[in-house]
Amino acid sequence: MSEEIRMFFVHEKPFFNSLIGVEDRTLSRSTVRCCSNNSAGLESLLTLEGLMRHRAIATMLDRSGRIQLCAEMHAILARRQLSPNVTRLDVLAPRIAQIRQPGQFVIVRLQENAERIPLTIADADANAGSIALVIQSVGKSTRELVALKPGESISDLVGPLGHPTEMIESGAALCVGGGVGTAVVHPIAQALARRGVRVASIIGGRSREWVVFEEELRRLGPVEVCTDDGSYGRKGFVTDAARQTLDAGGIDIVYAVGPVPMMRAMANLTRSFGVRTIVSLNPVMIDGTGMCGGCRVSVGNETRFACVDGPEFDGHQVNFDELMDRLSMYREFEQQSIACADGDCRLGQRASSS
Amino acid sequence: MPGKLTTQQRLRIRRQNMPEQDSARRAANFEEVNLGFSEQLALLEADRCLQCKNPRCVTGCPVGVNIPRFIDLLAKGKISQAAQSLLCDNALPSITGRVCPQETQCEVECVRGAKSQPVAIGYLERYVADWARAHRGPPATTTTPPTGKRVAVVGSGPAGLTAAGDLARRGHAVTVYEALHKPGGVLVYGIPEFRLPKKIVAQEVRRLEEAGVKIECNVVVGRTYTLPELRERFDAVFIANGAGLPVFMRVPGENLKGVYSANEYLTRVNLMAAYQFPRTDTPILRGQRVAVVGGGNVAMDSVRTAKRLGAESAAIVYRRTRNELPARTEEVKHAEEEGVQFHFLAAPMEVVGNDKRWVSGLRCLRMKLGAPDPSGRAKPEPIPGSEFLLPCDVVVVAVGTRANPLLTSTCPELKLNRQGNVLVDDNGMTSLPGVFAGGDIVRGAATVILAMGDGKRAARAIDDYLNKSTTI
Repeated sequence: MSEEIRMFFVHEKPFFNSLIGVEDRTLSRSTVRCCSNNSAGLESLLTLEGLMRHRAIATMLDRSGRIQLCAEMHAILARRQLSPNVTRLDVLAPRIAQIRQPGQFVIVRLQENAERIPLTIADADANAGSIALVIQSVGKSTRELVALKPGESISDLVGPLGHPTEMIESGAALCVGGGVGTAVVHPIAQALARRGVRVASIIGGRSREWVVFEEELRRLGPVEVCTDDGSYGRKGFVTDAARQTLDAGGIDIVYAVGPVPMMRAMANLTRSFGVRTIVSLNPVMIDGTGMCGGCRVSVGNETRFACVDGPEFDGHQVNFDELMDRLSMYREFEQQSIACADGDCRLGQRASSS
Repeated sequence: MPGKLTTQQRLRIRRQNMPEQDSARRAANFEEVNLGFSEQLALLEADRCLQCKNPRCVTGCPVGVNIPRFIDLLAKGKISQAAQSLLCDNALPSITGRVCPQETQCEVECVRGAKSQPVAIGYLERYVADWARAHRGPPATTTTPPTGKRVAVVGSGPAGLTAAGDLARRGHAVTVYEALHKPGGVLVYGIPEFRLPKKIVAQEVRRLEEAGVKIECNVVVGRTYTLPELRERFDAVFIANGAGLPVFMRVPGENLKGVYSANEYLTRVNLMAAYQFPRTDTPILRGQRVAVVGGGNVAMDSVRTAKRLGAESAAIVYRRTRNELPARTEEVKHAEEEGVQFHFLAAPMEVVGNDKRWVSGLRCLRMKLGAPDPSGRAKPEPIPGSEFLLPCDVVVVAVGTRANPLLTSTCPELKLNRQGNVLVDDNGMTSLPGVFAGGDIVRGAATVILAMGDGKRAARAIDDYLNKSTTI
């Protein structure tokens, strides 16, 4: 596969040269090799239709100013602000776009010295070779990610990781999303609907502008929106709306993704109805392959690794208190990191040495 | 004149010591501890080698480096030839010269060890390899014509890199898949900077790339590609993805905030450069009092890292005694010099936390050594009523790793043992034709050099296999 790409670039050398602005010298062997180095990134360009498309991407990579790494980068194809602090990035990752399944995630590392961050794949377009990542800006790393503009790129992107979502083949599913968690619920609802499962969704946010993926979910079935302040849809928590739906009966399975307190509340609610409930967990993670064990969670009193055993688990078995507690482990560091990014590294260092 | 010494003269030379960074200074930085021989020291040490007719040292080396030959060339001042000789036997000498347990391999076999001290083979290997890195010419054009055969290597740790280098030299097109964002495997995420500078790993990797090896990072075989897919696209596959699943102690409190697996602790510091936080983005808890459970090299790496992160006290908690420590002697010595404490004959029973669920201590039980267990080591037995509390705010669990099922679970036909390690025959071939395996995924947690030995053997076997499949 990679061989063909090399051929392609060698063959198209004058064209490629002009794109990346190398005029006086021929492409060095290492540049060519680099370009064909990463099938996950460049396999892609071949599957994309039309030279114009190709030209567009190559040019974008050029503008990032890191030509020698172009093939290993994952270009941002589109960016959309979904709510005040939630951004959708469509990222070039053709292999992952082809094979990803609902519930799976990727780990991204924006650049040298950046953190590795797990992000659920919210959507994918196999033809365009892109995946959608929905990112809530909370710390320095996520802030930098959502600041990316089309044409810029992410240095490292690996996946798809984790187990695909446990599906049902028929019946009715209730999909509950809170805040940015709705983006994680979306691919699950999509896959369920495709199988012919009846999908109803309940999604929530602080207020109207914090509600995401409503339109996408409406295409799959009825959606009830809840806002904390009542500025849109029903005033109150998603659990209130979910209780009514469950009271009415006929729900075979519940998928709930959102902030930990919301998932805990949903699991407590569905437990009383005896309805199986899948939650998607987002603990601190580094490698995503089971190597570090940082993402361990207690499920049914067993220690499980969210990256390889999850990220989705039976919500009735998850120890949410421990999860929430472990998620707070680096809270102080996040502030230092932001302080340092804002130009006050001394403050950051003081805090870290104190 | 070098090379013209009599045996008597050689015997009179004493083993040269490795120059080291001062222990107080180095305990506060991440720079390399061992500074390397000067030319003078290296030549003096090389003259200690008696050039045995039947060199036992070679038999002690898992990759069979022709030790007397490179030492002889070095002693004669032919360092360039010495380097060639060494590189021909060992793909990563700058690395093995630093991390090999020579004292239990080549050096333990050295005849000079009987009456005085063995030749410092490891230090000499490092000297020659470092010279070669500093005096590298243009990349050698491959003399072997391309065979047209394609080999996939899963994992870019010591086994994978060694196999990749050997296979490329034999004219095969090699692609190495690495799950992390940087190649090197345990050399990058596990072994700390102060023992193996990452620059050296990067240089060795670049040398392989110059020799035609393709390395693709960010590919998790078992997820991004499955093993059956690789078998379709390649003529042979070498699985060397390591033993990447951390083992925990299974005691209460292990999920408290402040408990790390050694894998996580070291990965944060080494791969993610958390020691430079907040200049880098990945944080690490810098404990004031750090307890590291375990007695192997990974435990020593962790505890010495803790010291460098500024811990007031950094202690090893090990259930046997000093004599049973599996770590290299040099690592234990360095740790002691740097002020690491050792709690021997102590077994953790519980990680204790405060009201905010942060680690506050490790509750341990005193042990005594009993009769030997099946492995031949004395079995530690608890002394009833001997509980004690070791106050600490970070606990690092370094009690071993298991096989990672991520790849193997996507290919049920691949035969495994009960621990989940891949079963191989004498040639390193698995139950699937054309699929070979080596390193920790076969052995369980072992050493860099044993993994390299597997890589070397597998490369030879893969080459045979590919040649055979051509003639058929």
